[in-house]
Amino acid sequence: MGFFASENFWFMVLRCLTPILFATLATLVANTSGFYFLGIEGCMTVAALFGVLGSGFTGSLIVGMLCGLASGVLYSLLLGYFVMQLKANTIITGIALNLAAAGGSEFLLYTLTGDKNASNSLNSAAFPTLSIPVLRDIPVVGNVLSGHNILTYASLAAAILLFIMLRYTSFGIKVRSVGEMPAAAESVGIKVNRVRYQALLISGVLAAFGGMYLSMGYINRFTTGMVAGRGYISLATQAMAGGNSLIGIVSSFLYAFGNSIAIQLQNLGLDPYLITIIPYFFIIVFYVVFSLLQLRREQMKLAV
Amino acid sequence: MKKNLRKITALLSALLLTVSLASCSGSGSGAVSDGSGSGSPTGSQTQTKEKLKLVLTVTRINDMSFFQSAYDGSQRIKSELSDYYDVEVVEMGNDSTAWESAIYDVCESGADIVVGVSFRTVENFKKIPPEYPNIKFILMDEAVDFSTLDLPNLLCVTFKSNESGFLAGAVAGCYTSMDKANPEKLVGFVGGSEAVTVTNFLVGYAEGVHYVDPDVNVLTAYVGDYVDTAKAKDLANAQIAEGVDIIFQVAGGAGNGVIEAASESEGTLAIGVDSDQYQVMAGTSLQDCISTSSLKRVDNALFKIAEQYAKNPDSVPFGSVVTFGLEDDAVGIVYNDNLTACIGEENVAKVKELEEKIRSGEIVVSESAVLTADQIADIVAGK
Repeated sequence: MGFFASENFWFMVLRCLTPILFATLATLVANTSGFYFLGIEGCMTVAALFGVLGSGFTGSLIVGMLCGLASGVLYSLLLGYFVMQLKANTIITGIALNLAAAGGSEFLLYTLTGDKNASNSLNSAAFPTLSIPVLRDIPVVGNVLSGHNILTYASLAAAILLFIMLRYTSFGIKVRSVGEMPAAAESVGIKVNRVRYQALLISGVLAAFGGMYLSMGYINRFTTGMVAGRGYISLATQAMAGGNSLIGIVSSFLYAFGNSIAIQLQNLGLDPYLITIIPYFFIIVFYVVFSLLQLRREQMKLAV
Repeated sequence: MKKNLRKITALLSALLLTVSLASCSGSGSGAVSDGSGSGSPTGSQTQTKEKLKLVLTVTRINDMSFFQSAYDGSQRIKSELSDYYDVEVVEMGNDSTAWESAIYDVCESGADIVVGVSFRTVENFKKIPPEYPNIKFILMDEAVDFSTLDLPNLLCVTFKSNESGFLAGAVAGCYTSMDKANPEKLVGFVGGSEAVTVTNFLVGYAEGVHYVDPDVNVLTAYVGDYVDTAKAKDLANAQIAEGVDIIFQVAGGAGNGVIEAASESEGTLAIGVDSDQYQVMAGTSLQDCISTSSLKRVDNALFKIAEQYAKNPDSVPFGSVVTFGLEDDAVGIVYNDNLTACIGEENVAKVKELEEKIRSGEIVVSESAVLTADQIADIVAGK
């Protein structure tokens, strides 16, 4: 169990955290506005693919990033259009778009590169890693905190910005009111659907970064199915976070922590199937404890 | 006007999504027909019998792995045995729940021989053959229990991947004992799931490693699926952090992550699986770390069976399991310049010597299908 003391372990935790955190934040913004963003898995997949295609064919990281962002945003806006304009069922449409993204991405990859498995023939770009001067010299935590991909730091910054935005800006208040009581918001003259579209735009950007981290950050290619359920996980971590993106960091961290423990334990020869349960078990236990504490706090408030 | 526009958009998007859904879970609509479809006899006067329609069902033809190998085999049959067979290939997509109906469609379409590949389709090949006693079924890379099931028109073909795993292990054992590798004698194995197909490689790998050097330890890890590349890379990095200097990946698409981890670590090598991954990665920065790959020549095996069946249908033992190994050129590892560059000519000669010993029967490699999980763990530990 000595790995808790190793730098590699904690570095890996922060590495696993990044895509989950981006996805959690994306789901959080959408859900806060009252739109259940089930299609996040597909959003991450298309962004992962288009980021690689964009940078692979032009040789530029910026173009790749813009392609990835554009595809993520278009996807989430399309989902919004189906649900809000065409009045389709949110859950079913989300699942349908996830399936479409899974199949469509494989198909597009094959059409453009001739390979259905991975984008190995493309030399796609990757987001750079940052070695932060002062941070890296700190004795114990330096190597853990410094040297990450730029997107890791971006995800943490995004969480903090999102927290401030939702709590203190007028746009944030609009988003929350549209989510909590759309009728009341409507009566004050706020256009509910328009605010939801704006929230979906932000969600699309965040989910796109999450997907791009997978194919242009940690791994340097797109492989079919590489998002591997991380979008769905974010629905759970977001449920735990509620509307608070700082708690979102905590719940995502918990999942990343459990995931990393599972990876390290494989080296000790324990049964891999049993180990796979660990991250999900963590989340359930934590959520139960968290909810009990919430309940306690509310009861105490009423008692006063 | 706005209402009409809305209707048109709705229809167009529904159409677009249906098309992407179809490419996701193929099921018949994704059929790639390659057969000549004529069925009429060729000009030669000795050719009086009709051609047999052979249909190959795969997830997709281009997965750089054994489905592609099966496809290559079917195409070789089409070109070299065109007097005997009309060949068609059906791509069913990755969603295995749709495969049953796709295979039924193939049977209804007048096929004489239906070929399926991998353990994922084994339930279909237990269920469907009894319903079509006049059609012959061939299942590649998986066996059924013929002692409890009555399937006289089914042929199961398994591969001795433990033999190619043994050779991969020999390469790994040689490398980790070399001066340029780190002093820790540790090799790694990253598998997709704990299926028999994967553990067969593992058992051979561990035995190969320990045959070359009994002091080497083997670390194993499983991704849990064949697509999570990031997790596979994390597992590989965790093994590299422990001191592993060569990793054998048996994890399909996720294996790309293992190869990336190896290429990013100085002095760490990877061993590929199912196809020559050195060739696949040509032009990328990942190529150099791929010392060799363990091959499953589904194409050779399929061609051999088709050839035998064409010459004499009774010589092919339907209703049983046949196993192809090194001696049939159905498994093996890649010997190329990179392997020689990685482990040196002396070691390459050593590995080739071991290959001869397996072919002659002097070395017998264990099979994971008959072992319990504990026995497999013992082999991995070198007991």
